[in-house]
Amino acid sequence: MEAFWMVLISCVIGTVISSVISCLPGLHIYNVMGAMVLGLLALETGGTMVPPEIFVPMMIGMVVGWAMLNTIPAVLLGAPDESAMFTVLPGQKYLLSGRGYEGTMITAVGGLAGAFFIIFVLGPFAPKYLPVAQEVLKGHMHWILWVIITFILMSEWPKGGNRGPAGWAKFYDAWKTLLAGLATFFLAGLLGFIILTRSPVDHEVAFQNIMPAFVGLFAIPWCLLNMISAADVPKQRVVKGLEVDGDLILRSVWSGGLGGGLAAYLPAVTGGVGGLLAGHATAQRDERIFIMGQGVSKFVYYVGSFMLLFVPGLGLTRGGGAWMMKTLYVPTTYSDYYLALGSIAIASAVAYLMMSPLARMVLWFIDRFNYRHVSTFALVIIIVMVLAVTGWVGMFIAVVSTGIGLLPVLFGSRRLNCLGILLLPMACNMAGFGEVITRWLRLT
Amino acid sequence: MTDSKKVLPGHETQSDDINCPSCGRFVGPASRCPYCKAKIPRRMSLVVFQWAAIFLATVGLFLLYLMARSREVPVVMLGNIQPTMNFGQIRVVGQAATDGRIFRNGGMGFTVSDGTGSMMVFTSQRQAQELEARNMIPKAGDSVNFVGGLNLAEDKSSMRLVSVDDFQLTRAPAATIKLKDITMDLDGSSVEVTGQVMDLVVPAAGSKRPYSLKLKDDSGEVAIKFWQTDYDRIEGKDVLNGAFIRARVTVGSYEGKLDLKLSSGADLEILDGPPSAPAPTPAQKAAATYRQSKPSRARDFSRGRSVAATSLSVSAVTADMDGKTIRVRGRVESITPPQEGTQQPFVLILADNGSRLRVAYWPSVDEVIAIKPTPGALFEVEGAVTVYEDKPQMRVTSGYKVKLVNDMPASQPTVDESKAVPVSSISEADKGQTRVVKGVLGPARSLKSGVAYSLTDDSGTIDLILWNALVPEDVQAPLEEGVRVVATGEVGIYEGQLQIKAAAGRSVMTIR
Repeated sequence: MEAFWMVLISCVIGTVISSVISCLPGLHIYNVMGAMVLGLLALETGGTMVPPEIFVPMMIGMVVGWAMLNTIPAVLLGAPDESAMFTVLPGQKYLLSGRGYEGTMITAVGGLAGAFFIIFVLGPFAPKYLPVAQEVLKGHMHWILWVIITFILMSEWPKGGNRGPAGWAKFYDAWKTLLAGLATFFLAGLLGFIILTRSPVDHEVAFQNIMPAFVGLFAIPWCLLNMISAADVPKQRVVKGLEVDGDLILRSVWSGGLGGGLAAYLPAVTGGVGGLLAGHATAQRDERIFIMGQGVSKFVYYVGSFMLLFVPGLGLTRGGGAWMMKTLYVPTTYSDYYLALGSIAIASAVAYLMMSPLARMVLWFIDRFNYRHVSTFALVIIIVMVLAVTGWVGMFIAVVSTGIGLLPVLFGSRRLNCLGILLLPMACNMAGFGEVITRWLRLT
Repeated sequence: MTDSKKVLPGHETQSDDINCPSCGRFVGPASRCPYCKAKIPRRMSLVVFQWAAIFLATVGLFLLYLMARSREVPVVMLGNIQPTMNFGQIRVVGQAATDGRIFRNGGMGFTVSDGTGSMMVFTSQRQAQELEARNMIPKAGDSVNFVGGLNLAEDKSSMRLVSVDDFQLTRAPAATIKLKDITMDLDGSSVEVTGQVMDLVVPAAGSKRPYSLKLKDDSGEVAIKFWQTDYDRIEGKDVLNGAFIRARVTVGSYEGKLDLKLSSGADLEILDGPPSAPAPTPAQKAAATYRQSKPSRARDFSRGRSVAATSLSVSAVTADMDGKTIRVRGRVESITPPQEGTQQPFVLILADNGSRLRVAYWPSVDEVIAIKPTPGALFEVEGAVTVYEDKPQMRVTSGYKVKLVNDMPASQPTVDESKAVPVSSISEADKGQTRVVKGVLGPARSLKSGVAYSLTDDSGTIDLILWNALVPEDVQAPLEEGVRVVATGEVGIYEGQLQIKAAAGRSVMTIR
């Protein structure tokens, strides 16, 4: 078969697979890609080599499909991954007013705009400017990370303590969410030090050693929350038009592209953090921009970070998907770059076209089945996946992480603080005193 | 619902929770109805879950921390590294294949090899500084033992050093050599030289030139170069001129000329008089001291789980050890599973030099054992000693504590003699392939961390290389000139000569 058809078919298959998987709440595409990598390596061991023309576009399709369609569970099932956390509130507003379909489609338009941004803005300039930017910035990453950490911690505000007589009770009421946020950040950071320095997960599957922690921090608490508190979803309307215009799309691309771009480029910074920074930087107030901007941000974050590996002269590894790809194939040429851009374009189109039917299907599903059962089903899948890949040790990590991940949910602080698991150890390591801390903790 | 339970007028939209289930009156948050005294069931407060989450997070994290701390990092051969191990921490026991090189960013890198593969190891700037301060920058040939974090990619893989404290280095003894014998052929190797300092040329202030030390022995004269940082570390540097010294230098070339570099300031020792017998350098002494304070860890077969006890032979287990937790190694004589429908344990009999030890464990433990014991295989078990009828026996409570050491029965040959090929059939095209050869050993030649023999059969001769890190001592012990052996290993080429690098383990066997 000609390489062109191989690429095209693999890309479409990857997109379709991830589009369907994206509709399941809590299941992350990187976990599925991890399983795929294991399968490819097993084939390789058995003497069957799968050519990169098959698995590279397939993996790109999977990332693109996920970035575009994961909005469906985020808005309609209320179980987003951490990078979609800002979509939740306005998105759920849409859902509760019977406009869940519209909410998902606005985010999808954002994703499509993100694809245009990557292909037509980032694509042509990246090979020329990004290697230079990386050369300039690579020595400054540590303080950039510390500034981001400071911003995350300091931009949370007291949410209570407005009434009642002055005293400890009032003080506690005001500060409990802040304290919970700080506790979450530092507990997650400590967990990060343990896992990144001396992971209890078997070294044979070390490439997934942080997966149980992420599942515990983000996926399981959301599933539990949905199971406990799922509200009655009103009848949803399917519309034929969206209340958006060109100006709105451009402003969304501005805020979302900036947030997603920052998240894609900076190590340990995810879409949620990028969105927070960009939200403050661009100060866009319209709710539709908020939702669409998150669509752009999420797309640029996931797909952009994956694409950085393909940029000639840069080859930056950002995000779990890129790390997994690197174990199988390291792109170096312009041919790889064009392959990536082409696959992104095709996959974006396919994923967008699948958005409407899949959103309708999920709406049909939640109309007929109990919303809580979906979360229970997702939780079972997640637990089976953690057990299958990392065993009981991984499950233990997931349970501990769940305890940490429940803190922001129960205290009403930001779930973003859970990212301390990566931010704190990486910032310390980059600043050169990570080993001092691990030595103090007697981990090294 | 009786009339008494009817919702009061105006309360129709209120939640049932605030009305008494018995009389239907409004009771608010009260836990007992003030009217009919009925107990009001209340929802569990969210605060309970908040504290439960905090408890789970902190206690769980502490347990995880203890688990991580007590976990031994598994030793993995570089040749066995799989892409799925990316980001994993592994222990590497091998040799530095290149000198440690300090990069412009202050970090350091060297290549480590363990006979099954090689990999670049990187350190951070801080780690490089600490290693330099401890005179532990590796040189080619030095034995190293450290924990590294894997960074695997399809094109190039590397490791980053996890901890300087855990980095163990044993300097390879450098051959003492006459100055006239130092030629370009030794390019890249470390040698030890002795002689008298004839002159020390100090670079001018602000100059970027190195120090140059002219050294003379009875065979010739050479210049040794080093930098200010090395000079600062030389003990007694003020009396260097005219002194007799012993130094370890790296042979290199610069613009086609011989270039000798002092390995480290700590590798230069000022002698009391003209040199006699070689003595250990300060670096070797330091390495020896370090070794004594932190002995090398034994290879870990536990897939990362902690094993604290020292391995004993079966005969060493006595009734006096009652209650103690020990680790025993022996060959499996028999394994008896419990009879169906009974509550009996699995009974494993370990044997060693005529001694036998009964080891018992429950079926739940057996389920966890990764590789089940089979008769003839060498196993290591860890458990508590109990005494029954004055005889010691062991009780194992964890499946992770029953580990395979070697699945080859003692009586079975480890090298398949029937697969031996004539030496003459091995060519350069076979490089990297595994071959079995059979022949008579020639005289032993000592290498930095191993030994080389020539192996001759009817068709020709080839070098057989045995690295100490790979081939156990008991395998090497019976080998000497004239002994007939069969060996398996990878075909390699060194300085244009073919060689067989004996594989890890019991890869060489004496035959008649």
